[in-house]
Amino acid sequence: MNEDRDNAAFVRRAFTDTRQAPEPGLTQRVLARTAERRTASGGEARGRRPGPLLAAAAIGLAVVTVVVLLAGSGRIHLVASQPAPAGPPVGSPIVVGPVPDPAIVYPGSLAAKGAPEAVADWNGKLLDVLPGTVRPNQVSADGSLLAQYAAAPDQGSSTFSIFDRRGRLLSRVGSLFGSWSADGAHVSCMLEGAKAGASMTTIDFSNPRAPRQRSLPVRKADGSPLAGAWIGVGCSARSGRLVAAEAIPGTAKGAYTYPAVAVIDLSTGRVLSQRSFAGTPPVIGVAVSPDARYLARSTSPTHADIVDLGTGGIVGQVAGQVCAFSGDGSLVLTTSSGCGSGFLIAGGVAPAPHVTLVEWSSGRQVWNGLALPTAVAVEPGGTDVALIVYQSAQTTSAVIVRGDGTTIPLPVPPMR
Amino acid sequence: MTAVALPEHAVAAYEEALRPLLMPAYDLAFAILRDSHLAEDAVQEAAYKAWRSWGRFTDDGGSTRAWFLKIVLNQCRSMMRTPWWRLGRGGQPAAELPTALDAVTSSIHRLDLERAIRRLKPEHREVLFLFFVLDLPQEEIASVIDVRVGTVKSRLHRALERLRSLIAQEEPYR
Repeated sequence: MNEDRDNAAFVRRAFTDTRQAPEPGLTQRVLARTAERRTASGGEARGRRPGPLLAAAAIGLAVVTVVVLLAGSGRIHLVASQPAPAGPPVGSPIVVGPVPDPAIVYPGSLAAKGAPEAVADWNGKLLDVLPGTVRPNQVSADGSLLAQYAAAPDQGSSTFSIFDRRGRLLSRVGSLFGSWSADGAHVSCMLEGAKAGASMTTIDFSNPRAPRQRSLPVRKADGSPLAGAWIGVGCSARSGRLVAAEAIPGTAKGAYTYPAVAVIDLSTGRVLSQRSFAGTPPVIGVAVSPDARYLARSTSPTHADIVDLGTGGIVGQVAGQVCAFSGDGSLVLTTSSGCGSGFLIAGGVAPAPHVTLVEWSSGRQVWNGLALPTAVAVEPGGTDVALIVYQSAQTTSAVIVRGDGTTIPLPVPPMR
Repeated sequence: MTAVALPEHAVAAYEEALRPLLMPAYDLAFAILRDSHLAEDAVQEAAYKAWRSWGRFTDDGGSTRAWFLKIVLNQCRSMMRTPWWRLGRGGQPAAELPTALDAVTSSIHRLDLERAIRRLKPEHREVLFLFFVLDLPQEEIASVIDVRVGTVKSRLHRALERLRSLIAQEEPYR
């Protein structure tokens, strides 16, 4: 008896001590999403037939007969049945455990041309300074793998060199390196749109010295290819989802509108859901939360909707264009100057956009100031973001903006 | 079976039946998948599948809890069968799991437990969790995991021994 009690206490403790609580509101969230899917599917459930088998069969036969007769007479047109509405995008994940020791890789000095990149932890402590030859174009969300683009001398092909955060070369991969999974997983995702149909490539860097590449055609639920000018806009390897947007060139140079988005299963290349923005003002910008659960859809420089990619419903609205989400998806970085504004130029930054960090569910403003609207880094799974802020018109510095609105300056590394 | 629109009271009955089961379902999914986001995804998908077969289930008059947990379990198993899973967590030895962040935020004891649980086979995690944490009778567990009661008993015994041995292996590192 005592042994049974000991066993129960032992096992309970093992599971309860290691339990991670779900985000608040799990029950309401699950029931609400199920209700939306139920509505989308016409409220149907698979139950027993309401009447006797024979009567149901007779009714079915009668309906088919009438439809065939009407079609033959040209009064109605038979069309191929539409695929059932897709449910919440539950992708097939690659899981690599907790994010190890996340760090921020940031420009050590914006004023001094050629200054090395620095590495700091999320408390603002300088960890390392990269060799001057390492100028990463893309840093994994946890700051531990750096990808640096190198065009081949003949311009015929290009490669990405993969470094660790101390600047040691780990491997080289081809041009199918896309962008890092936004949730901290060591996976890159790339979507190549084409008239004949999009294809998707993932590279798994679980062993960064021997990355494994995999390419798949992207297919819709009915098996047809996803054709058109689709681009990848977000990827979460942990939840197995890649978010793609159809990108149509706008009238202004470099401007695009995004009439539709699709959520794609990273493992199979299957389109889990596809949503059109027909009937809404043109979407001029999209941003995806790191877990690929929410999409920020900006319809003007002063307005964005937060859309639940599972249900397609609008769950929040913010003023400004959304440029990035925080690591936990609860905050968004907004600006009314366009997400590409304020890019770095030699010797300084211009112009100075006004940027706001907002909790989208409540509209609460966490922080605002003059900063680059694209975050340098977001803390994986957290609310902190690292930004380049303007001290004056010509002076900038890197800071961590905490989820409570306080800031921590990132150290300027010594010149090598 | 065919697709029929169920009346409003069926919707209410479905939600009422599922509401108290969603948190245990999440805990079960987390016990197996060891990731809160994936666990919620599994419960979400299972809830919809439960709705799709709700009419069929109520007609059969079985235990709602066993029926729903079985759907959750099957969803978790389905997620673990994907190539991505095998490539990622499924094939990853526990000893190689990154622990640097956890070392900061959690106690070493918790890390030991986590490593030990991850090294358990999924079917051992399932049966231990259902019996010792959710307190399901062995007959109900047999129904959830689709085996005979005798198999539940022997699996429980082996799982418990294995968990004790794994935790003992972790302890020297404290």
